[in-house]
Amino acid sequence: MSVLNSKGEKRFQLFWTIFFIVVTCIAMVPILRVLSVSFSGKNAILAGKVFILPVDFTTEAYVKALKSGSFVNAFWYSIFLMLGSTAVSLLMTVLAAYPLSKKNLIGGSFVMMLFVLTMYLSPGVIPEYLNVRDFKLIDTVWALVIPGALSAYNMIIMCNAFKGIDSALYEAAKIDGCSEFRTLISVALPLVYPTIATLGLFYAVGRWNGISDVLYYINTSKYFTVQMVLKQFVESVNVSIEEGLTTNLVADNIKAASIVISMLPMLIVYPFVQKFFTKGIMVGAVKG
Amino acid sequence: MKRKGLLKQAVAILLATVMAAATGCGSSGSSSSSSSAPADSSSSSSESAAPAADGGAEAAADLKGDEVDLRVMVWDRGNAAPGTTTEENTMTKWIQDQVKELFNINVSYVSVPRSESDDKVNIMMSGGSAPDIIFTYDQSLFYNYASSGALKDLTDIYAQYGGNIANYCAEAQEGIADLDGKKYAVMKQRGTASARHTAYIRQDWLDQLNMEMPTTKEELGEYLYAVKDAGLGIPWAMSGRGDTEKGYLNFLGSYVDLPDERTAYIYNEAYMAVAPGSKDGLKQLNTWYNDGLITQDFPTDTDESIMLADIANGNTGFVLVDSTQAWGGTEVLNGTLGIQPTFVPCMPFELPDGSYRTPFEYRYAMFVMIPETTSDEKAVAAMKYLNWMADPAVAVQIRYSPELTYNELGVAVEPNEEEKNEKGYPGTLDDLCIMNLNFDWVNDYDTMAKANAMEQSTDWATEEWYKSYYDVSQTGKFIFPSYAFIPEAEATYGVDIKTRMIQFVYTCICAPADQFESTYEKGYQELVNAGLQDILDGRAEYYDSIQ
Repeated sequence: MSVLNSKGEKRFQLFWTIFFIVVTCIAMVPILRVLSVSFSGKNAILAGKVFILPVDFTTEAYVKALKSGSFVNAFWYSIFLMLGSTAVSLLMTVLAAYPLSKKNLIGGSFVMMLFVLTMYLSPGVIPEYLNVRDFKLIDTVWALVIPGALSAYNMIIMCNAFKGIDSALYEAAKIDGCSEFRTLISVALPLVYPTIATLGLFYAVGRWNGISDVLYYINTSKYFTVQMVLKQFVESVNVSIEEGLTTNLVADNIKAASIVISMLPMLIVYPFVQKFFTKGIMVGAVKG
Repeated sequence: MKRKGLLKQAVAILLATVMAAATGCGSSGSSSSSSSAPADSSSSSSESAAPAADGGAEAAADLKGDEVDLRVMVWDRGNAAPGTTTEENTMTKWIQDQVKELFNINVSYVSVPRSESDDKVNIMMSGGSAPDIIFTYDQSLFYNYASSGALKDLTDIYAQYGGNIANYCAEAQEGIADLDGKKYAVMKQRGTASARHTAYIRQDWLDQLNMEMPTTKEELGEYLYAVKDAGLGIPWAMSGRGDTEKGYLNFLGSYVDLPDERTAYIYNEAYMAVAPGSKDGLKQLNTWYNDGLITQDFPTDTDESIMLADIANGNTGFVLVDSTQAWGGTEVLNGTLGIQPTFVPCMPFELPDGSYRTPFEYRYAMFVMIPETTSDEKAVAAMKYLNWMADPAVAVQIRYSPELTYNELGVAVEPNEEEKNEKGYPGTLDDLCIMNLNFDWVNDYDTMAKANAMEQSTDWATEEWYKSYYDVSQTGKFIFPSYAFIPEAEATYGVDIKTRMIQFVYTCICAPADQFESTYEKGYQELVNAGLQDILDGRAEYYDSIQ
């Protein structure tokens, strides 16, 4: 039986369906354009002939992008960094959220307030830099993992997910002789896996796209992420103004090919995690 | 832009604190003779490069002091060869070996992403962790550091160890890095002296319309109207780049009389649009825009892709762009049409007295600086490093790789991408050659024209075409006076005013004809309110103070 009772509701539904299809198509245009530029010939791009379909089809740009030592290194390094950083972040988030989800934790609300404060108070770039420097993290991969390892926002979501678990389950685990740690591993975590998947994606996307900490803390090019390398490609045209040289410009099709390659990991992961999205964030939102 | 401004302000405040904690080491451990350069350090050195400065091998031996570690900034553009990094590749290894052997200096490199260079240098400076050699193209950043005590005073070590720099990069050193009689940076010397912007016109359209090459703005106007009437395309293609005045500078500048150096200093490129007389130029552009001679809605083409496509597609009859920017599009157009020449360089912007003025690039490129936190011993090593690199015989081996080859014109040939990848050279060798690009042939325009014609991948332009480019762009060569000092108002409002100025010009050009006056007055008043008058007064005051 249809849930759409009246003609008016059907029309309403139809309107919004069409509206969002149109919006989605419009949103796809820039991505399609980048894709088609990456497969197009240089002259066709320069002549502005490329829109959403490639002109003078060629894979030359991909061949060149994949021959770039910097780009290929940065790509694999970024994947490694993203996986490691996400794992550390999830570990920290779970370890902070689980105890804080317990109502009887002494000082829990005070600690939670400290976490929340970090969402409102930011020390600024330079104090943060000095802090990282004093911990001797400059120019190490840890500078990209530790300072952003825990997001208070994500921790609160995680905390709510734990709070959503029926306390009877905890009691049962306790009666069966589970330690708190065992309860977390065997009882709590399996119940919040949609939240973990969602937050994992948040952390992964944040790390993959994050660029400012790479700029501030890293002085060795082998630790530059793929987004940092991409930025050099994309901004070569702005740089040429002050240099007064056009010899260092990166061709548009190589820029586009590099952008497409760098989008791939997220495009591959996203559909698998997306199904957890709504579920993950909403877990614990309504308690019955 | 705003973020950059804030960052700079934050840095200015913090620098004082950091400087207080800066290390100050003992004096130089190196014995030294007067300025000199090492002898040719490689058997493959340039035959056409200038000889090393006085001194030779004997003096070079004197420069070899105690072992010193030196950290040098290097730009990363994401184009290292496979299996190498920006800091460790065949070229950096070669430099490290040379410098170690000659001066006993252990060089290591610190990568700075090219597009974020100034921000990164700022962060490192405020954290006291900047390398011993840093550089920037931004004069305000240099001035900010120099005036707040964040840079080493190089006066003495330059006099002692900077012989090659003084010899071979002399044009670049003229005053721009000197404050209160002290030298705070050595300047990289540019290669080919080139015009900032050049106009190009369609020769085939001129022929079709039976018109001569315009040499004045009036004749240009006639051509533009003729193009429109004949329906050939957009008479003048403009773009809406928000960060450069290239689209109009040469045109507006031709309405401005610069009778003396003082006026030229006050109204340099950044303030040309408000110089006396420029309003007439704006009015003319406004008229042409409203008559449909200029790309309609050009301010929306902020990445200039539409303008560049118009060149490549042959949709336009005239452009004013960065000097060689139209070449790529013209190559495509000539290839498509199968004729040449299509676009040719032209100079129709006559001054009130009938002569011409083409703003040129300064002979200096970037400010190469040594932070105050660097010890005296390292500062001496840094100067030796820079001085060594200023020798054209050395510079050419860095810029074109040590396996230097020349073509039959005596012009050094850069390895192509494949060769660089294979041999492990970085994509931009220029980034390691931080002092001197002024090689023998670069300002010999006959040779350059021949070399350009010889090196082009398709035969889109003849040697004569390139020659005419050099001739036309040289017409009325003019370099605006510049000084290291930046008036306070300019340091505070300069970046904002530059952006506003470009918007002001675009708004005036696009205003309905009957509202031009009111748009101009309103826009001008907004500029004044944003600090324009303070800046102009500050510049005038400074100029008068040094006379």
